[in-house]
Amino acid sequence: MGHQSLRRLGGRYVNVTADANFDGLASWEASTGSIRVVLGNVGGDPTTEVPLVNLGAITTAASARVRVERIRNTEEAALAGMTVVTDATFNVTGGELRIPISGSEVWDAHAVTVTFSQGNNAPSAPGSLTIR
Amino acid sequence: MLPQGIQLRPASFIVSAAYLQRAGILHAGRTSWTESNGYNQFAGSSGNLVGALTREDQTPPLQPRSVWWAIKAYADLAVDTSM
Repeated sequence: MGHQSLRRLGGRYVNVTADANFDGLASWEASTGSIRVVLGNVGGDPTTEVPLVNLGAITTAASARVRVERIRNTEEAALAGMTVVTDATFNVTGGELRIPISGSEVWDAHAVTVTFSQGNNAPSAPGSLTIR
Repeated sequence: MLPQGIQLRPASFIVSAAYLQRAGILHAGRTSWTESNGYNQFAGSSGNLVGALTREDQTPPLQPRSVWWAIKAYADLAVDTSM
């Protein structure tokens, strides 16, 4: 376990709406053109979809790199790290980007990183995000 | 925050953090409990970061548990709450 220096805190929270099984938080950081989402599975449904909507408020990018990591619940046992379950390019269509999550178990968490590599990013205006 | 039975679960930490954020609460602490063998998360020889790490008597000792990774993912949101 390495020691990480404090990073600059430049992000803004983005609105998140829970579904029956998943809830969490999201942030948008203009300087890196990235959205981060963390989700917890408190219902047990193995799948969900994370639609990022109103992306036109923050970027003109037509696509994004999406990385989804699973944090498997191990209770008192050690966990060596997060498991990458998705690392791919997704298209932005009509200001929306939909991220599927599968293979989840109750009490797991998931970390999603979305990076817009092209297009102009708005300096600070947050979009809105819905989980369902 | 978080009752004893669910304290170590990654989803419990994340969802609780979401509730706190929506309520506008900027600071909260993780509650210290005793573990399955009676170990006190706060009063051990070095403690285990209130359950974020395995105990000294576990194999491997003092290594990240799943909730540690959830806390890290939450920290990586890197939100500036002062603005």
